Amino acid sequence: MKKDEKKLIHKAIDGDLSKTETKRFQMKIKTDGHARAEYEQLKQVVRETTRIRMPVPKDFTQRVLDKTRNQLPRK
Amino acid sequence: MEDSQLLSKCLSGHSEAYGALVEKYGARIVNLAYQMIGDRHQAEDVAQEAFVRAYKALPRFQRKAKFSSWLYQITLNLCKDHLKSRSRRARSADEEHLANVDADPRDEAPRQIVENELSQKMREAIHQLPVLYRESFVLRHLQGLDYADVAAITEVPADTVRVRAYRAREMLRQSLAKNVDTFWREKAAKEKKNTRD
Repeated sequence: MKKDEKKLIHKAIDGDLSKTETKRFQMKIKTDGHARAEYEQLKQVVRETTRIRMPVPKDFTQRVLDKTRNQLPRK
Repeated sequence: MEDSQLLSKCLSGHSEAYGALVEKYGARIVNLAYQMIGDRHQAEDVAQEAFVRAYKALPRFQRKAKFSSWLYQITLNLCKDHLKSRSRRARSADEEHLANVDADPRDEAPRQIVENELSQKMREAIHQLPVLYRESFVLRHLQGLDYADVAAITEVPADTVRVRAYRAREMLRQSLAKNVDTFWREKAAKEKKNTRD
């Protein structure tokens, strides 16, 4: 795939396509199976990575406040 | 209450106002550290340290910047320091330690890390990324910030951030393509089967 076509796909992932680019992009993924597959993979990678998170411990705020309690902000 | 009001209260000696800021940004900061470092215990420590450092440095905070961006900067610097010192330690010993920490089942149940097998692979792949690419990717996609904010936090031009995120996505796509395709094929097959049943 050409470099500018790859860039177009990444711009689509970022939601940064102009009207003209949107048309070019839609045509590209309609007619090029390889481009369509790459676009789908990128979308899935981004979607799945947003699940990488952890819960905050319940006592987190308290622990921070305990550590800062006797320390005034330094001027 | 707005951040600026809470900050003014903190600076006039009402340290409990800082609790409201920790409550507001705790999840984002803990997760930023987790996404950068990949170990939840270390992430908690780094996030805690970030809030403590920010508190001590409050009088030096420039009000024209967003408090959240400043907090992100402090956290990222701590993460980078942490990653540097970790890479200095013997790799094999470190990996063994990390594997043990993450594999402790007593710890797993109450915390309920939100991830499945694919997310685990993605987490590993993210930690293979160069730190500057990882930083841009995490801030843009995992923290959901726009490029202008990422640029302000990382103090590099927005176009540079864009390129780093692009390269990170491409590296992740290449290393995960097989897993992603298999995962989605299996998921689709399962859903089809469930619909039939």
